[in-house]
Amino acid sequence: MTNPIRKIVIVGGGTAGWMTAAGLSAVLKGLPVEIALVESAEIGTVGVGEATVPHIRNYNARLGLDEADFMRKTQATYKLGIEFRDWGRKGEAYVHPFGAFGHPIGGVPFHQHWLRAKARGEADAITAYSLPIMAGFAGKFVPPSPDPRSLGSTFNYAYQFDAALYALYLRAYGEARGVTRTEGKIASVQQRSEDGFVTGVTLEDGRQIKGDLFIDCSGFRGLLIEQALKAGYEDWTRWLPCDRAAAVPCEAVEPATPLTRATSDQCGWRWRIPLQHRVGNGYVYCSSYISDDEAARVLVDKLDGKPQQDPRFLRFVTGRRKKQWCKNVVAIGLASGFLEPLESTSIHLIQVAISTLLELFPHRGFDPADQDEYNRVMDLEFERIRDFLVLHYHANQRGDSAFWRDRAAAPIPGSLAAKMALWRERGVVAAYKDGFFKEPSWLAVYLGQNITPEGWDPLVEAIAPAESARVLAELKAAVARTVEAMPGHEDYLRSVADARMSA
Amino acid sequence: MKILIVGTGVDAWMTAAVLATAARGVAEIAVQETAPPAEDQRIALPALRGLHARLGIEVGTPLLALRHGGAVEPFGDTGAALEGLSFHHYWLRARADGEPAPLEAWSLTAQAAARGRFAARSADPRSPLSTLDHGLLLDAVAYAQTLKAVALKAGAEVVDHRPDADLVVDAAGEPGDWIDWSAWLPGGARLTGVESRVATFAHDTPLKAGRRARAVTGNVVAVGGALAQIGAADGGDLHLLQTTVSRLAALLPTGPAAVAEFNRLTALAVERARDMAILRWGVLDAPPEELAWKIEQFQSRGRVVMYDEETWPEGAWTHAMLARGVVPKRWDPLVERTPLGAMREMLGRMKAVIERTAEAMPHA
Repeated sequence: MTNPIRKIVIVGGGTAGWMTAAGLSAVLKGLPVEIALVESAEIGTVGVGEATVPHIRNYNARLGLDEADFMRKTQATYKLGIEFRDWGRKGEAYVHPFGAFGHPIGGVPFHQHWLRAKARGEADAITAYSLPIMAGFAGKFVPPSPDPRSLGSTFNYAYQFDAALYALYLRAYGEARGVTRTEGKIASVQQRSEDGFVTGVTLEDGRQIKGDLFIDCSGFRGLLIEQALKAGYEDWTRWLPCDRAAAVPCEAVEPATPLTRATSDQCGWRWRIPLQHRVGNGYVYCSSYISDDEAARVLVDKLDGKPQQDPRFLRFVTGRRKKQWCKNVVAIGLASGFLEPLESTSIHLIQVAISTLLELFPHRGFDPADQDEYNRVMDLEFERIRDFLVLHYHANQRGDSAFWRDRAAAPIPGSLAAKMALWRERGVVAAYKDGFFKEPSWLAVYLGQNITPEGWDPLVEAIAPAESARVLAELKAAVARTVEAMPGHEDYLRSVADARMSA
Repeated sequence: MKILIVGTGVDAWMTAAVLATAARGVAEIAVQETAPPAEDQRIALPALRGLHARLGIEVGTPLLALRHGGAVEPFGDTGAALEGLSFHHYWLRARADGEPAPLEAWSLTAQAAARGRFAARSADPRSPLSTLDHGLLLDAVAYAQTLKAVALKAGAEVVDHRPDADLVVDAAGEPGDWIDWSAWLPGGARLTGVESRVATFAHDTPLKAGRRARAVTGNVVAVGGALAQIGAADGGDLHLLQTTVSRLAALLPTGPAAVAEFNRLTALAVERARDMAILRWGVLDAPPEELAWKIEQFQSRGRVVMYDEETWPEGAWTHAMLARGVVPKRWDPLVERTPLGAMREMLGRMKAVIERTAEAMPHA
């Protein structure tokens, strides 16, 4: 092959920068390519995405990370799903679990049988039929069973960790595999006069770093992708208007739960992410409804433990870069766009970007086909997550604040409206191959936020109601039994740590 | 609920068999048979065997590969994905280094066919026989009869009038709004012979290529030849029939949102199958947007783009591209993580295992 990439320059550390550096150094091993990362201690990292989705396990596995070691160094806890409080009506709660609800009965999806049984008064809440939800509520955890016939194999899990520690952990990993780190602030960007390709960056002290491929992990401002290349930004605030967040860690006052929590508040929502050593908290809000001071006060008032520092503020514009890959620059992390962390997708999007870049890894000639396909794949990923997030806001029945009344009344993307119509008519989740959130995710939010279908699949009637009810009752009992036998989440965390010590 | 199927042959009776089995006790299925079925042979892709197993039928004779004029396009796996990269990238690099063997030298299915051998796919992932797969050559009349027997046993009834129905399935090709594709597909494929379980095609069948603008209009849903004409006698037509009928059972289009979703998914499925027909024997001057994108990606770097609702698997696209002369300009650079010498040796070993395994398979 002619023209191989000889040097990759990653601009910006933080979670995105170090995940990219570590991922590339692991996968590109064996190729004569140099990886350099430039970061400045003066520029703080955002580190909002402390909760993840199960795909993170694939990333960690690809790097060959030892789970116990990784968890200890990042103060991680396990995660079975996200608990949403007050999103339908105030006082209600539901969980978006990492696992399906039951299995098909007579070839018809489980939830269709549940819809009929529920209408007949023969079913419990849908949560009773989900192992990860019931385990999460009970504060219990074990990893899934490897036996595919076992109920214990029917879920997946992710982690809640300290993103700053994760970045440090991956930095050590990357540096051990040859990634060179340069400390310094970038003063200017050099571009080729004929086509605008980036050729290098110059630091404030005059040092120059040249490269063939540049990864922009500089955060919201997009030092290369926007400031140098003017890739443009597609603004989605008409659908997702929250534009600020206040974040503060606090002391833990209860055992860490294997659930991330998202609680809706007057002008947005609050996250709560239990780690081993503390609890991460934040309030995502819309600045046209509430002031920064007021948001910070609400956040601190509602903490369950003592705050460990003063709230930090973040500003963002929901949307995505029009070209996440432009010329020889690929934007990863906040430089590529922003979707609020309501469904813990920040780190997931970083990961999808890294794996898509590796699938379309370019040569020095930069065939436009590579960037075109990359942008198609990433656009689809962003759009499908966007629709799923908008659903949470749109399908609220709070009605107790202007913010929530406006969200219920605001227009939604046509792609979401079609999905919701299909669900309302007969409880069917629109199918797609690419994109992260699949049937169980949509199901959890629809049902959890009281979007009840008017009917169900007519083929449910091929199975007698008594038979459906029997299968439902058996599953519910099996879930309860399995949860009963599971260790507590903190006990399991400790046993993993102890096993490591004695090993 | 009452469902009336109007039509004949495989189109009508596959619909009746699947619906009657899925909707037993829920829907009354009536079939009004139109003119007698055309007597010909039909080809099924490997995936259709799953439906046959569910319906409890055993039909047809195994088929190992297709040939549209260029190279042989085998079913089953060709090579094995190594280090997360599709096998053909390794082959492309070996080829540039002087490897004379074509891609199908790494397909056990193709090598078995070349030696007149046959075995069923092994369920043991460690066995080279797990890379085998086979489609089916079906006698259309006998196949329709078998499906009819399944449908009648599951409660479908033959009627000689048109009773009122909640849903009418048009498996007869009655006129409707038609989107014309004849510029891309001036003719259809025609089976000209089967030798050593390889089906060969000519592309001279008169064809009015296109699709019904909407699969569902009012309470009428079109399936099979009534839904689309892409001349895919190579298995594409039959597979499309099966996915449409399975979609009918999963998403009975009886409400406006279900109809909209059914139409959306069916249009996607028909268009993706059409793209393969165009790639294999159609006019490639100005292909449809999605096919143009697929060709560009394959030509540029050997990437196979897979959209929603594809009929043909990734391997089939790779073989069809190469058979049509679409050859990647470069391979995935990550292939070069393996030193060239070691890679050539590995490919040589794989090829030898495939040849040995094929030689040891029973004569067909």
